[in-house]
Amino acid sequence: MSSRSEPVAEPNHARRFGLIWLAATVVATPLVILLIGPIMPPGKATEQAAGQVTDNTVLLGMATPVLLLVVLYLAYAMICFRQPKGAVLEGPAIRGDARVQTTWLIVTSALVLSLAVYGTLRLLSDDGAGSGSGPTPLTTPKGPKLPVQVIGQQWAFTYRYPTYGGVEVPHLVIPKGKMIELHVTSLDVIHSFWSRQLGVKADANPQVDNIAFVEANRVGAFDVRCAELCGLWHGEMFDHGRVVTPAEFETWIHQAQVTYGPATKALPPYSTTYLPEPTRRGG
Amino acid sequence: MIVSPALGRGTRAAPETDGAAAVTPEPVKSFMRILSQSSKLGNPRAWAYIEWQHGGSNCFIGRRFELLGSGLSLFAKKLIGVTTAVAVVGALLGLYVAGWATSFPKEVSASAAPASSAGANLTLETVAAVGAKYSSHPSWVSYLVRTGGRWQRTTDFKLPANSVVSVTIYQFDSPTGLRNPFMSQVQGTVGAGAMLDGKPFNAIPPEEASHTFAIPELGVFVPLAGVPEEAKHPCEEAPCEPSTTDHRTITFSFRTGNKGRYRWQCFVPCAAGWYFGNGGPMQTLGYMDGFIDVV
Repeated sequence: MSSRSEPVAEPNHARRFGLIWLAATVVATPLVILLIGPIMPPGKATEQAAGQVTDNTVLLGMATPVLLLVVLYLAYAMICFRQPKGAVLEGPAIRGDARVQTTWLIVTSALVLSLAVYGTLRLLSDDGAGSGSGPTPLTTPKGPKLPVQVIGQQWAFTYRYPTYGGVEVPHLVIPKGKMIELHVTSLDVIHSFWSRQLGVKADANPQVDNIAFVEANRVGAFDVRCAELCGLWHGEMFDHGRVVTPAEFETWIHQAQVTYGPATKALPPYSTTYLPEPTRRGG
Repeated sequence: MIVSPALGRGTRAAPETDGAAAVTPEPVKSFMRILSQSSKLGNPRAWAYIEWQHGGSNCFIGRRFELLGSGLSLFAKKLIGVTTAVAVVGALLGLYVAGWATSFPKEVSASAAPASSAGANLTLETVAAVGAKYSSHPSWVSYLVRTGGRWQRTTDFKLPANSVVSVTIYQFDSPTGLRNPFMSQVQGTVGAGAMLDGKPFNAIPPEEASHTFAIPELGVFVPLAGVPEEAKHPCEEAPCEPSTTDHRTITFSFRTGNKGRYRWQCFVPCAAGWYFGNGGPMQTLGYMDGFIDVV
């Protein structure tokens, strides 16, 4: 059993641990990016979702060295600084280390600020990275766009196509390969239109036209959920949509105009927002 | 010495602080004296010595209790006490909330349809005020279901899978108007239509809607027209009988599809006195929303 009166020659822990961490980082980070990156959510069903996969991979790549630092140091401390069995020892007093503290501050600040810059640039991209960009987005994608209105209400989403006579339908259908301009609003409380596969999430606020862009690059089904606690059936406020070929879309929308003709006649003229009427209950 | 007066003030026993053995079996006579003394002091060691009194096979338990009672610091004992109290209170609160959250009205099975038509019948009514007989919220708007010849307040229905369900709704409430006129069209029913007072219809003016019967997951939306304001014999409170009060009768059929649990709801903001008409009975199971168990 060693005692304080018998100093033990300690190795240079900082250098040794630094080398271990560096080696692990050099090996693990590329592996993580290459192996986990491709399977990161939300998939690549749309251009926006694919962009989010890239974003998540960047985050993962930057987080991996930090995670390794924490986990490896924990393991290192448990192994190398373990108290000898049967001994009651106090470790050496730890004082502040200006080099360590400065390095830590600089590195963590650089990480966070670089991610902030990266996130801002992504949000300023033409399509807003699939996020709701408000009624007047700073940037918009070039080329033709198909406007589709998403209407949240307790407790269902409905969808209106202003360029097809303002027909409203209960399920979202969009054509592949066409930029969709989603106008998200609500008739009552705050909802949030979220489709994981589409890579779109936009708040649905009453009296607000929240615009988001999405372009699907493969046909198939997708889910829609409300992502804002909105009352009793919030958890049940989900829906399924479809991405179809442009030809199928044209066929479907013309059929929908016929099917929902009576309801379309009763609808108010298309508007980006609607007053939450009626506010009374008859008597 | 085994018991110290200091024990009553929540400090460690003297023998322990001295490093001596904490527990020493003593003769019963001696024990009785100590027990009496320690009980007055509120000494947790008393439990340990009760075990010692029995001697023999219970010694181990006694020793364990002794260690539990005296080996912990005051802080640790307080921590255990507070944690236990919080856990107990939390469990009681959880039980209360769970009981409240699961105290839904009883599920009602739809009546079997005549042998000539496979499926089931469901008879409902909508009332402007559910009344004190049915609810502690007598002024709330509500659906009721006809079962066993009586009206019952429940919104949990059991229906057969892959069958046609014939629904009859007696509508006794006046119009409120739809927030989204899209719901004014009948959707998802057999034949894409319904009957209103014996006449077929596939849509109503949105402002005339009093309620809707909608199962979003099955794509079923049926608007229920309201009783005109000028009706001479309105029903003010449940139960409302079609034979004696003014009402609208809506009938339709829909297919249930596969087994599962589907929610249904009213899409008219019909909750009087609540913010934008969507509170109270619209946010509480058993009034304007419920489940359909397809079995």
